[in-house]
Amino acid sequence: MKILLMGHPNVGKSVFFNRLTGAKVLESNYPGTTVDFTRGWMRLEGEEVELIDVPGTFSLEPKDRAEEVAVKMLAEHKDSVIVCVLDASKIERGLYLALEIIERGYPALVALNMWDAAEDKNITIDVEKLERILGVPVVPTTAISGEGVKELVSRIHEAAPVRIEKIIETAGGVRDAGGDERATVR
Amino acid sequence: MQEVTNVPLSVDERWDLIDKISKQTVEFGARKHTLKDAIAELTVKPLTGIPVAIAVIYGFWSFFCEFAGP
Repeated sequence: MKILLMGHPNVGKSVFFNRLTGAKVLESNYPGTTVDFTRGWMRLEGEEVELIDVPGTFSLEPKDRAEEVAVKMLAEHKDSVIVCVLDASKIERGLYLALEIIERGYPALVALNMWDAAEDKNITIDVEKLERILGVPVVPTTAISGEGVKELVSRIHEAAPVRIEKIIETAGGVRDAGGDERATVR
Repeated sequence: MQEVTNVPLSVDERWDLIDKISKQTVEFGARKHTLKDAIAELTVKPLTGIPVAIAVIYGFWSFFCEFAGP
């Protein structure tokens, strides 16, 4: 099993990566590009698993070389668990990428990182409800202080692919471009 | 692990879903105004920002005049 850390640029993926991995870290360029990424290893339930710090991307429709690499890396690691690192103070933006990853059938977890910054901004997130709607583990974290990182690691095994219809149903339907409300997709 | 194949949502559908999710889960309280915010606001408004900029430049100038000579 491999674990991919994915999220927007500057949401703390690398801080997460440094917290989870030890000294065995390899930094290399993605073949044929100047975009670099980092690989490391961590112990998970007595097993050594590979952790990849994927270049930051805003969505899975790439707009630049780094985003292209992120999308390619995701496609190349079909058997991976994806940790979606979100900025807890700008959850909507991060959810777009998280939903794209879930839609593609990857087992995922959501780390609501920079939880302390969200608290400072007086933003309250109902984590339990968010977890119920998304159907994937959601853990508030502050990677820089290490808060929530252990809990996130302990819940990696709970990550499983989710049917998008289930999310739509729990969230209360979805409205398409034509303005039609529906509880299922197409 | 059980495999799941989802029909991808359109961009509009995805944003609408995010809107629905965030409305149910995120609450924005009144933002605490910190000293940092007050300073940031003072420096971006022209009426207060220009005097602040002049004060900072004067501060640097007088500091260097004091130690390195005019």
